[in-house]
Amino acid sequence: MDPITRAVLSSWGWRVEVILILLLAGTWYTIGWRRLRQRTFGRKARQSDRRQRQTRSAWHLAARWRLIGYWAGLVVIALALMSPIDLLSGQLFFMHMIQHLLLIMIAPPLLLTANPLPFVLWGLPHGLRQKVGNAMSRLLHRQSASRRGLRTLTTPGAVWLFAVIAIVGWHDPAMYNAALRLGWVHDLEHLFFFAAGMAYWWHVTGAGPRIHKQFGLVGRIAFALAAVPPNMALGVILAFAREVVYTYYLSVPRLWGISVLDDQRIGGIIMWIPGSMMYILAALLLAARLLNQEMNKPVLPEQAWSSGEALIAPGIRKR
Amino acid sequence: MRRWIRLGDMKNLLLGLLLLGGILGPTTAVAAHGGGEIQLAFVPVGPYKMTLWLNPPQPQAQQTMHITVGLATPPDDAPMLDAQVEIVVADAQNGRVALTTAATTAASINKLFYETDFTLPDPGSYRVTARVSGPDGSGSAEFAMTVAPASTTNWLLIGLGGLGLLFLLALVRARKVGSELNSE
Repeated sequence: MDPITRAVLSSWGWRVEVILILLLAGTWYTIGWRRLRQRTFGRKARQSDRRQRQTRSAWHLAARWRLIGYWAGLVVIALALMSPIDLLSGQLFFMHMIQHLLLIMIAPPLLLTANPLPFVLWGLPHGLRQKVGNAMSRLLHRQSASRRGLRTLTTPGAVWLFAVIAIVGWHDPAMYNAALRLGWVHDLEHLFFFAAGMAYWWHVTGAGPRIHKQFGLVGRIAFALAAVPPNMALGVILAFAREVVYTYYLSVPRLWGISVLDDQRIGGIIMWIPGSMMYILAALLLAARLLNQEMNKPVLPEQAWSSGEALIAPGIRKR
Repeated sequence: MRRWIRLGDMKNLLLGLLLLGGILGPTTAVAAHGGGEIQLAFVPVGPYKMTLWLNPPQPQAQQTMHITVGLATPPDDAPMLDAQVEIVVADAQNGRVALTTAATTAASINKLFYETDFTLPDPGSYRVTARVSGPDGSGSAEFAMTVAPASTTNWLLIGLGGLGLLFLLALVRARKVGSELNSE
């Protein structure tokens, strides 16, 4: 292995605060998940309930994939913030784009498909859980001002606009260069991206708390696809730019012979193709779920569709 | 007596905040990153090019300062990892050396850079010289640094104290309202 690659691979920025927060979040979720799972499949659950739930366990609230998904989301955050990806983001634009992709498009959907709200609630001690549950039902009650405020702030349109402004705004050369120069601006950039990602994927995944009007599968597919055009446009602009947009990279050592302009092109392509693919993949998964729902609808009894009164010819119904 | 806040409302708010903390725990972890201001941008230093970052950009006396040095070898500007880097901080007025420290890749998180930490006891104007010595030659570059007097105000402590006081006031108020409700 050449010395530069070895140096890159050994550049891990272990941060106690990040590790502690992620471990705390993971442990909290796991405790809640275990409690809910015991209630579902454990001794306390009635035999008939257990059998019924086991048959549809793949989509059950306390299914194993949710726990794996949540931890995977935390691992992705850890990789984005402490691995060589983070340290190289100051030297390679495309590495910075990979970091953003992890924080906007990979970690949030993993965390939110795990539907953290009920597990976080069940991770609390019994007495506190009841208090928090009561507080939440008051705060998110249909008539409450807090619910109305939260709903207004997080309508799909507002979230889309926030995500577009966050992504486009932070890629403005002045903002981007400032984020590379000043640590606190970089922190703010990451927070914006993660918050935008969480808000966006909240609608796509349909995770709790569900405070908006029924946002059906078709709506969620459309919403997931609505993220593609702005993301793609930014990626295309960067991929085909003939000049270096982010001048900060002109004054740092280059890795593996990748020029600043080539690095920018690779970054643009990453934003354009894998970035858009994540939303398309989510739309496809939702479409598959929609089709599954259609297929699982109960079959109509034969007399409802085959009687002489109902049909003129096979497939054509009397009106 | 008109109550400015009901005990139940405040409890709900606190518990709501606790829950929000649980769900958004990973969010706070996202805000953790270093930084630094470039003082020398790809300046020639002997056969190499050097970029030097200083963090914080406006240093204060008795505060830890951090210098990061990136060395590149022309023509492809690949990182140079086998050099010795020495940082010399001297008083700008009389040239007296205030400190000398070695920046190394071992001391750095990003192993492609040379890093060092140091503290200056006194405020004033300084000249910082980075001396580089590698297999292809040696050289140096310098920049001016102004160190402000040590801050006598600990804003973090004041902020935390203020928050603690607010919390204490809210707690006292909640207890008072609670006892009033119980007596009714």
